[in-house]
Amino acid sequence: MGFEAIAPFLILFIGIFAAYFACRVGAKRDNPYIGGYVTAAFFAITLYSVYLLWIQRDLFPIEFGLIEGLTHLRVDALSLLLAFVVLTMGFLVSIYSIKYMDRDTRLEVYYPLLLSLAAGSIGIGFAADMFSLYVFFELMAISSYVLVAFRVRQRETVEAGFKYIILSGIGSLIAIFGISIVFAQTGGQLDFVIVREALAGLTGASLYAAYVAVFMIIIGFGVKVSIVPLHTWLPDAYPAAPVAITAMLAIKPGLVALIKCISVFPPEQIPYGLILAIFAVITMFTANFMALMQRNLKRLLAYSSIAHAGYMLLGIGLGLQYGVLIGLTGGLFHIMTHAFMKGLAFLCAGAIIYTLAKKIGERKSADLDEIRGIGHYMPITCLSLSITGLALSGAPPLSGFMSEWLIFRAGLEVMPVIGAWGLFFASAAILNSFLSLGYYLPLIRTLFLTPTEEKKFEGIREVSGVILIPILIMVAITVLLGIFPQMGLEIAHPAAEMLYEISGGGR
Amino acid sequence: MTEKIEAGKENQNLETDPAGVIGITLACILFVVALASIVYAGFAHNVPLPAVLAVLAITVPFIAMLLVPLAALSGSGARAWFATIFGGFSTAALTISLLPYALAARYPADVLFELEWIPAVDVKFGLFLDTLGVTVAIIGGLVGALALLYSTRFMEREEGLTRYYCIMLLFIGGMIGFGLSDNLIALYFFWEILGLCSFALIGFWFKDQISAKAGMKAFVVTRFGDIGLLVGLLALFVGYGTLSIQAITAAVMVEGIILTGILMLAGGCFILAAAGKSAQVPLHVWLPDAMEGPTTVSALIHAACMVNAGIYLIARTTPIFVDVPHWQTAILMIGATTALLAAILATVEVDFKRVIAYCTISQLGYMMAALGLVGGLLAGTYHLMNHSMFKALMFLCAGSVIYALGGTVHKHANMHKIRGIASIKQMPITNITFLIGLLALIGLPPFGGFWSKEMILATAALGNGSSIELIAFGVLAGTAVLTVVYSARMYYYVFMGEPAVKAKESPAVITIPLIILAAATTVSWLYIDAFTKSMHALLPEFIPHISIPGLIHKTFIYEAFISPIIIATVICLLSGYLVFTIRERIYAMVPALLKEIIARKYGFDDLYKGVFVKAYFSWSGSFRKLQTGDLNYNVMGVVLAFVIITIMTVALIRGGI
Repeated sequence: MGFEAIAPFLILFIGIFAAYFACRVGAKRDNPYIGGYVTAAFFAITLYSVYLLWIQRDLFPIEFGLIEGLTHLRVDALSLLLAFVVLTMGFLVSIYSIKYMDRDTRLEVYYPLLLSLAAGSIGIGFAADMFSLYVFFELMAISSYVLVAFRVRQRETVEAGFKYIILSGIGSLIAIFGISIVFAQTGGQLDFVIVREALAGLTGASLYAAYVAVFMIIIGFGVKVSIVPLHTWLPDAYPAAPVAITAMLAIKPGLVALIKCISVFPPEQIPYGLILAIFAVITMFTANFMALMQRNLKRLLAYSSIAHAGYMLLGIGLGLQYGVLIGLTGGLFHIMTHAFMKGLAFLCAGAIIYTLAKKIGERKSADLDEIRGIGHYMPITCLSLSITGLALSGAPPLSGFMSEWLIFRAGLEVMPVIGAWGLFFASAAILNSFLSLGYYLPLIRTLFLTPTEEKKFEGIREVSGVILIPILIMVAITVLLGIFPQMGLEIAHPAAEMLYEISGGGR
Repeated sequence: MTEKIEAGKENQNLETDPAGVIGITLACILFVVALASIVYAGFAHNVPLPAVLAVLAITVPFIAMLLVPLAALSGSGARAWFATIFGGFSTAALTISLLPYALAARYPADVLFELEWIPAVDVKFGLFLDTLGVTVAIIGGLVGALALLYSTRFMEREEGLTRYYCIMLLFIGGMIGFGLSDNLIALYFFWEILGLCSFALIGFWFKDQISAKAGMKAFVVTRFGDIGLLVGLLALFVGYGTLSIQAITAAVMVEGIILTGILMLAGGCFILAAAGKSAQVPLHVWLPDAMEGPTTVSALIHAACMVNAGIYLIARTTPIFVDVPHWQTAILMIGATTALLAAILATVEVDFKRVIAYCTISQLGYMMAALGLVGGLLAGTYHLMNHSMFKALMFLCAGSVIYALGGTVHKHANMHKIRGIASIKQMPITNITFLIGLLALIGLPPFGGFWSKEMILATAALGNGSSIELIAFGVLAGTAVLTVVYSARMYYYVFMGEPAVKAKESPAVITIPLIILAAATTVSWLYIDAFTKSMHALLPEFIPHISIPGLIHKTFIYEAFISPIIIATVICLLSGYLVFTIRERIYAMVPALLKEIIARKYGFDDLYKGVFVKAYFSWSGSFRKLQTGDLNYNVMGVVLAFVIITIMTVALIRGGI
């Protein structure tokens, strides 16, 4: 039973080899596109296999033991939420990469690593115990180390990649330390269900040990989630990586790892939800203020994704601490909407840089002054970027508003429990949503201003269809999730309900 | 004559080119299919007919918007007429079809429809089809259709018209949705759509820096109001656990003002929202700059529809907040101040469109003030409908003048330079229709503006007689004098005297909307009987039933003989004309300081630029320095995180979590 639970991984595993050979064949025949097609096909098949799991959702959780009693997979709504987002993004990103990466070499490394990055990310959702979760987490992390520093010829890339490895490595170490404390406390059990039972009703020294474990898990995984002050790698790493990879990283599977590991502790004894919520407020304000004066397009988007991690943490933190279903729904839905919005933003930025690089001859990261007025030459890309900018700043009727609105509501719904603090959390989120307009509006304006020099962009035309198709699909997703949020909540809501139940909801 | 021939040629080209016909045919087919599927889905789910019609009225412009690019394949004529007929007139017809139902319905049971929207978080899409909402929707649909019809000629020489028609249709759909939805979150949705469309259309000529800047300014300033709406609706949700305006109204009516704090917060926030959207002091600064957009946009968005949204929001929520202390007084003060300050600026402005813009701000101030009067809900909403008609008319007339000047490039028309261009000999239709609009604005019977303005003044003077209302009456009467002054000035410069510029009357597509709106301006006041009858059933304490003879009797007999309101009005009109004739002498008497203040538009723009914008840049600039690229410092972040988390936990445990 439960063999279908491992099917996505097997398909991706085969895909890694297939993509490698396809790229080698492509390199021989001087055809850089073939690897991208194969990768996209494997993403599509995996997506279908996940869909097959989804239609059996009445049977959840579906279990599959890899090594009986030690590591196994468990499919539930949360796993599928992450898997759908990751695989859809992976599919779109690999189509995008076909053209976007056509001037790079070593594609036979790029596409297999993209697939293993996706496998690691969805594995975090599927893992049933902390050990397999950590393995998948590292699979994702190591793939991303290589992919962030993929363009090793550039100095900034190497520096950013180095910084990323160091900080992320420290994070992983701290996280496994935290997990090992749990391991010791439960007497060698790491399955989430068993751990949750073992940790209920802690007293004395074991409670203090649990505190230490919680701290380490929050900080360890928090590096990947980019909680301020652990975010410092992100503004360097996101712009340095190829945008297709940045779009994949913006999904923040690390957050799901954090949620899964931390929700095993009893929230009434250890206020980890509240800790996350407070970190969320710090994160949102710091990142938004830093983004305000940012003049580099990709760095601006990078700061913004730190801020958005804050929204997710706020909703989920309040939800876990006080059993607020709407907070969990909002936080998880925001993972989905943010992945598409921010992915779209990065893909648009990448399209602009790609087009400019073709003209100038080298790849430059886009300074806002550099791209001023490019909207007149690339209207579709820049319009898409404007739409996602508005969506990210929480303007209805786009998807960002819908998920942020649920998070605002979460802040207000805890008001009966914690009084004015609930209002504080809600207004912090609202304020940040309006604050982010402070950099998205100037961005939109810059795109459509007159260029600094006459004829600067002479000869620049809209990017080719292969790049535009993923962009337009994501625009459609962003608009549709805003008008009909039910489409996304169909998955996010059961996942939230599941978390709600295991965190002893409705206290 | 030549124009007709050209138009004919265009049509011929369209018919003879088979590839060209495919786009428009496909668009039409898809349009019908989409419509049919909505109707089918509606009946399959047992949605009542009025709700289906309302949903259609909201969605038809959106569907048309999506199909405009397809229709554009068949050429610019096909695009324009597709948008006008399928997007504009069919929507207008759908909104009008709601009216008989709204007038005849039993209140409030029959008019609230709740449709499933986001079942996961239990949010329903409420449609509230009462007469007020349907009226706002009709204004949106009707003026929208006329503006689109007008655009077919007015905008024909522009580039980027697919974008133009798409956004116009999006706006119309948003306005209708705004008028008809009962759920506050849906209201916020449509409210933001209006803001986005306004932003995009003011900056329609985005290659022009001034236009783009004006669009941005409008968006940022109204966004401050949006914070108000969002916070206000969340506050109401916390207090009442629902987002339905009607449910909250019912709760307040039954239990009275219990949740005073929440109602004060929400009420204040809604005033902020209305001030942003309806250009009230101190957030009025965006509307004059919004005249950078095409004139059709000014007529639709900045005269007839979007600027009414704030007033409509206040009118809609008056039953909720009316007993909140000082709520009405605050509205009254903001409205009266706005009316006066904007009217003063209108008397010195020389740009034709900007005069009308200041006039709009002033009239919106009138409506706001009316809503702030005790028992002024009817007067305010009545003025809203009349004003929409005559102000759209005035803007479209201005557009006609601009068209005669040579087209849309002449969006800035200095009144001194275009003297007499639209004199009765050169442009008779534009001249007479503008005069009708102007007379309605000044307040002469029998035009629409007269009745509602009279009602506002009478409510102020004869209301509860509190000193604040009497002061407001004085301010509003003074504003009425100034209204006459700037109206006369406009007419004197642009529509009278020997023409300084040769021009000829605009084509029929442009004059027909003018004639329709002029007719509407003349008869719109007759609507009061049906309007008050149905609204009285819904809100008996706020809106009395007034029949047409009753209105005439009240205005001409009661107010003329028993109380001297009408005499005050006559004095206002006469003194206004007097001031106009001796305006140069008055201007010479004004002290230099006051002139300077007026020339700086009371310094609002300078204040915002000098304080807020500056503070914003210096603060965010200094914050930026926190991020260093040094890895050694970055690793310290991990240590810092441990420190923070420990301190936080200790504090939480000490504080008993």
